[in-house]
Amino acid sequence: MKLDSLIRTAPSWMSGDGDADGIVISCRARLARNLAGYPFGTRITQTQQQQVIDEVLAAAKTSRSMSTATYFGMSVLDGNERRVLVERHLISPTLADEKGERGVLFNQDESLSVMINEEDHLRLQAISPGTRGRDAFAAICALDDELLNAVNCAHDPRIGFLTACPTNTGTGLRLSVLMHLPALVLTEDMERVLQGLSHLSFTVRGVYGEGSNAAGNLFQISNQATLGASEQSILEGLLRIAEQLIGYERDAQDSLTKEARGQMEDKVWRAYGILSHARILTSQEFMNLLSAVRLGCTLGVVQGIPSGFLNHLMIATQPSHLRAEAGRGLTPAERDLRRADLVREKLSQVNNS
Amino acid sequence: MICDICNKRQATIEFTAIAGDAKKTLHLCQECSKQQGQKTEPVKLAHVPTDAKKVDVVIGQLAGAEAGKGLCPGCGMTYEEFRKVGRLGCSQCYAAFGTPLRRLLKRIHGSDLHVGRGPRAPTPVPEHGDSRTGTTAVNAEDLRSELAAAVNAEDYERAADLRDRIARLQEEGS
Repeated sequence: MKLDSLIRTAPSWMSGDGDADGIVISCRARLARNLAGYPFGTRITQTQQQQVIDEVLAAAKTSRSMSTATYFGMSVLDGNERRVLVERHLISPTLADEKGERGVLFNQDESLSVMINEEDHLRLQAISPGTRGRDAFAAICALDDELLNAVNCAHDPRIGFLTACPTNTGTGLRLSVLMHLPALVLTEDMERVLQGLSHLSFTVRGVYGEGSNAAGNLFQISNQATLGASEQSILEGLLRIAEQLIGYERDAQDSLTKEARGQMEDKVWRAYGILSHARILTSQEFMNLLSAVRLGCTLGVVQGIPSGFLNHLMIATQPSHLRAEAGRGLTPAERDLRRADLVREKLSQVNNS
Repeated sequence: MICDICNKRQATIEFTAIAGDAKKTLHLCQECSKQQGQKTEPVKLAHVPTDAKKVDVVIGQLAGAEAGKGLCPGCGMTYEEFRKVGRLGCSQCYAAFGTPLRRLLKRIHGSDLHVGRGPRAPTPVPEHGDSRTGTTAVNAEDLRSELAAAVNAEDYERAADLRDRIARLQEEGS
């Protein structure tokens, strides 16, 4: 598999399946693991990093889920190719930017991946579309079992799996749900929701990880604690919160349609109009317009646009995807032109199909 | 229902989280959530602390009495150094930094006892006690005091496990 072919396809978790309400885009499960006998990321030598990679790749070869997976060492990729992987949620910015022997192993449909030599030796990830968090959880547990049987993991019976950062100790499990909550933002209820979530020890982030803003009304909600609760109860807790948030968003959508149907439809169709005809689109403007169109689709105002199409458009218009598609470096101004071109072209295709 | 923040006004927004058998509910009133809301930009998430920052803050809070203790025989990291970088050097650091690190874990997670998967799935059973509750207590008396402590610490999941364990002990005894 080459990276060039990657940018033209959408990862399976963006298919829009399992998203009956049009609110939950995907669910992600991540496990942090370290091999016994090697120092963690801050202390490891390059030789040891290579040994870790060799051990993990050997273990993956014998596994059922990763035997045909592709491995990319960061050293063979240029800066933009690494960013493409970040934009596809296959690697973290840390893995892309740090020095040393590092890489990522992922399967054909990008639903399963293993980052090697991030701050922990292993970061296992499973993503599933829509509300299918249980699928992602089952997949990550299966992969974990296979790898744990082949390598020796750093573990303590009292405090569980040992990780470089104490915020991941124990289960090493971070589960997250990616949700589109435009009506809660429009009705100005989101701030209260955020307050409530942080009181209940859930972390909320924007779509592209730590510290980012909530571009396009997309929120990533995840568990904060990894120690003291079982994997299963972390899963149930998060799914329950997601369920509650779907309910809140639905209520907010209902009151929008009841009290301000005209304004809401106007907002949706204006967004659709701009996306269909604009010649210049900045990333932020695009994300906001996309959110309005997505809301329109959820409410049945706009018809015939599948949510998987909107998800793919979101990935394809990311800066490094645009650059990879162009085959050369782009200035920010050129990128905004190309983004608008791509959006017009794709929207006219979906309209004619 | 009274607001959990001001303890005065009527709460109008409710959140529920389920951990195991236990339910944790939070009630907030309109004023409190609004007041808190004004302190932050609308729907900007930049104020959410990143993991590294969070560790720094918590480690900073625990500084003083714990400072300067501990040297890891595995990788040579000192506790002082760990406090600066927020990352441990190797798996042996956990044992080397003993009590202060366990206190830190408790502060971050609300618990310092692992429940769940082990290195060879499924979950291994320790030689003594109960793997789910992570307790080594075997009589109901001790379990009850652990239960009280768990409730006090609002660790409802552990409390529920302990409650079940006490119930099982009583069944066995009767």
